[in-house]
Amino acid sequence: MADPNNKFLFIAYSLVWIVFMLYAWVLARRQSKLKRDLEELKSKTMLKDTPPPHES
Amino acid sequence: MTAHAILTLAWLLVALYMIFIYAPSDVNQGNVYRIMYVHVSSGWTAMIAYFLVFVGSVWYVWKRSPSADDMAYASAEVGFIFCSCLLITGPLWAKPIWGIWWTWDARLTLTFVLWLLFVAYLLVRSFFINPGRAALLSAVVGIIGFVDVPIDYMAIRWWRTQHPQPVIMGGPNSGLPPSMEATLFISAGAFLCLFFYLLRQGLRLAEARREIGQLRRQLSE
Repeated sequence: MADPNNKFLFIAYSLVWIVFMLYAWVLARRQSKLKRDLEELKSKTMLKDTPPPHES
Repeated sequence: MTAHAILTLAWLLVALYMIFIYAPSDVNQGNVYRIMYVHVSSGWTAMIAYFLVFVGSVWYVWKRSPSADDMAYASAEVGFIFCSCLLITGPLWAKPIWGIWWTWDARLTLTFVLWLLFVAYLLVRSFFINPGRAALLSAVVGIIGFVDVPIDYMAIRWWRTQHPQPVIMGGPNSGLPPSMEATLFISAGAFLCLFFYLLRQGLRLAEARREIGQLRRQLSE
């Protein structure tokens, strides 16, 4: 017969797994936000560096 | 995937193999004692994390170095995760063995205080808009709070507690069978490797955030 305490073992390892997966998800979200910010800044820098049009 | 990520993953897989297949069941506790491998490893890692928070905080207060602040902050965040795992797995092990989820003995209370210190450090960061002030005040929390760590570590040696006496570096009657001890050290190593991997990710994000902030300031000038 299975040990009734095995459920505590299962819950403990499952919760630890969930905690780390949630933290990995938070880190991934932060990373993608930083990437978006960087892209935005790059496009702003390019606009700033573009010389204004001259009349011929 | 970096070499550090591959090493962490491989180490965790070896640890899981040892925890569930290599290590024998305990004569008294059965399989539920296997919570120990993740519980003790989380505890050691959380204490090392707070030690790094302390070092980073002292370094920041002394030199006002942004990298020291980054290290303390990243370590506090990852340490909070490990300390939360410690507090989750503890009651889940206590209930089938002690018959209770929680008791306010010295070790458990001081560990809860450690978790609150991680929370306090992170809350202070989010309360202040001024980054310099947030870094300084959280560093003060990091330094003062470190008092808890050695007392928490020694609590089960100094006082009679519900929490068991140490199995590693304890008294003459302490200790684990060699297979369980090896599994515990491999698990603790895997958790430490994971901690440093997550810490590195946190440091990289902090550095990128600072660079973006500088670029923004340059653009607005």
